[in-house]
Amino acid sequence: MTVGIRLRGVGRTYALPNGSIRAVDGLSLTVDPGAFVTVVGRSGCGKTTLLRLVSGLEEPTEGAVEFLRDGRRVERGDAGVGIVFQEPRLMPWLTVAQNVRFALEGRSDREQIERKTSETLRMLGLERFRDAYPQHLSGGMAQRVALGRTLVFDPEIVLMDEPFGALDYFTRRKLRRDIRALHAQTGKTFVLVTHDVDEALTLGRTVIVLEAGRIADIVPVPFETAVESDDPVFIPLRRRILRAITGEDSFAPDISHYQEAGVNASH
Amino acid sequence: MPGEDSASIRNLRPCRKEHVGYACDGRSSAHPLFSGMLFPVLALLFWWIGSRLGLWNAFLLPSPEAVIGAAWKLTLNGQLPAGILSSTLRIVAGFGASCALALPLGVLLGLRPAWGRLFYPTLEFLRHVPPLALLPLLILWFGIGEGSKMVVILLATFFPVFLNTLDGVRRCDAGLIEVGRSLNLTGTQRFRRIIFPSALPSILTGLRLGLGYSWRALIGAELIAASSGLGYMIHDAESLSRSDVIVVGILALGLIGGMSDHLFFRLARAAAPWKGASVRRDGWD
Ligand SMILES: Nc1ncnc2c1ncn2[C@@H]1O[C@H](COP(=O)(O)OP(=O)(O)O)[C@@H](O)[C@H]1O
Ligand SMILES: [Mg+2]
Repeated sequence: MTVGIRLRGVGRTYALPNGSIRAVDGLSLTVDPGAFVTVVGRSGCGKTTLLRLVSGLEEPTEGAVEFLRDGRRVERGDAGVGIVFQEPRLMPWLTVAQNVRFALEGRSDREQIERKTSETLRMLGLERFRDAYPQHLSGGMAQRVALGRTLVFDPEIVLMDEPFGALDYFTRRKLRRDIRALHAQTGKTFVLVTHDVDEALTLGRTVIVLEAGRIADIVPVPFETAVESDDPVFIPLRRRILRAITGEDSFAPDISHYQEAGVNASH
Repeated sequence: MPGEDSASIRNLRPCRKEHVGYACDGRSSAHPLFSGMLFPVLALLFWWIGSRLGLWNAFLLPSPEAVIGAAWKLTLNGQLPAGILSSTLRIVAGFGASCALALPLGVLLGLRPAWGRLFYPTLEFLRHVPPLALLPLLILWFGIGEGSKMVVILLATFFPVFLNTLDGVRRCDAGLIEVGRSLNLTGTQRFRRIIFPSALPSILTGLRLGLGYSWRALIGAELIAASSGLGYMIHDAESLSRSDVIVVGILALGLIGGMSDHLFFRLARAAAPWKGASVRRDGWD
């Protein structure tokens, strides 16, 4: 059964030479099993820290991250949490197939490893590249391999930290569709973090708006079929997210700085 | 050529995000050995013609025929093979001992940078002392036998091996290590599956440099004090004014050095096929 996530007052403070910074500031929230949640916010709002706390790469300074299967708590290890980083982080000395099965090596028998690897490569359209080294891959392909390396060990929860950040528009669009299909196909719990409002809206069924380490809004996205970000149904949602983060209405832009610069706003 | 200074002790860099140098260069179609033989053949021709015409005193530079004759004689009476053998054995022992020290220490200090503080001043001091300058002391302590030769080779090869190992381990991408953590690999598994393979090209570069240095240092030591080996053969020929034997020794050194380097390159490429091209960065395979 799929696993959900529960955050209970999770906070993370980093000590700095001159004081400290609260990257994540007492978050409480529940992600249902099988949900696709996106987290959106500007750079430095704590998105990466949040994912690292869920993945266990970082310990919270207060509160707790819990995993729930059928309403009962399970350990992170039993839940199976996979993370895809912003950069592909592939082992340059391993081929695509070897990178994909990296997590399986020594954990099951050869035949099973081979079967799962081939399955994952097929699912991500990577068969043709199975013996290529990462240096020969495009950014999009490399990110697919990274996704494959995470999916191959069948985690119940898949965390993605701006996985399309470095990719071009067309590749992003393609991968966006693929990830939605992958979510529908696997039924796993997906949490994807991004600074791109359109990406958050087209991918997530729920968008969590993060500002200064706190939840500024939780926006449900009740459109199963809309995939293009210019779909008119997104307009009010986009405005709502913008307002939650900046506090301003997109139709009443703050023009004071134009005036300060000597530009006449009445033009 | 990235000398040992590609990783100076003082200049320890933090883990870098990006891996560099994995691009492979296309190889030219003609075997480089053919074009590479142009200058040796020309030199040989010049040498031979010059000797024939008596352009120089045959004592200063004997003719090719005289050198070949000397090489043949030295081979028949066993002097040349014996010299090569005893020099090679010293390299094996000295370089082996050096690797046995430098590899673990490089890995250890690469993984535990804090412990480095204990070693760096000492190592930095030793690094700047040419091994041959220590030879008089070493002879006092170890005699002119095998001990002093081993120590000279050890001193000459320790730093390229140690520094390149250290650098390779330290430069391992922190992001890759974190991938290991996110996949719940143990510390040992992270070392074996991520840090070591990532450091391997650098380690191999260090070993290859070290191997080259070991010949130079050994011959230096044998020229000064030894009773066997190629360096000794040259030294002995010098006192007997046998310039033909000296030339034989020099040629043998160049050939053996080149061959052992090539052999090592082959091994390195087999061990690290994903970037064999850059293990040999001077690229004249
Ligand atoms: N290891 C760290 N040490 C100190 N400060 C950090 C560390 N990681 C993140 N921060 C700080 O925490 C805040 C949130 O960072 P991050 O989670 O990376 O934001 P985002 O991913 O949304 O851009 C930033 O101000 C960042 O500088
Ligand atoms: Mg981030």
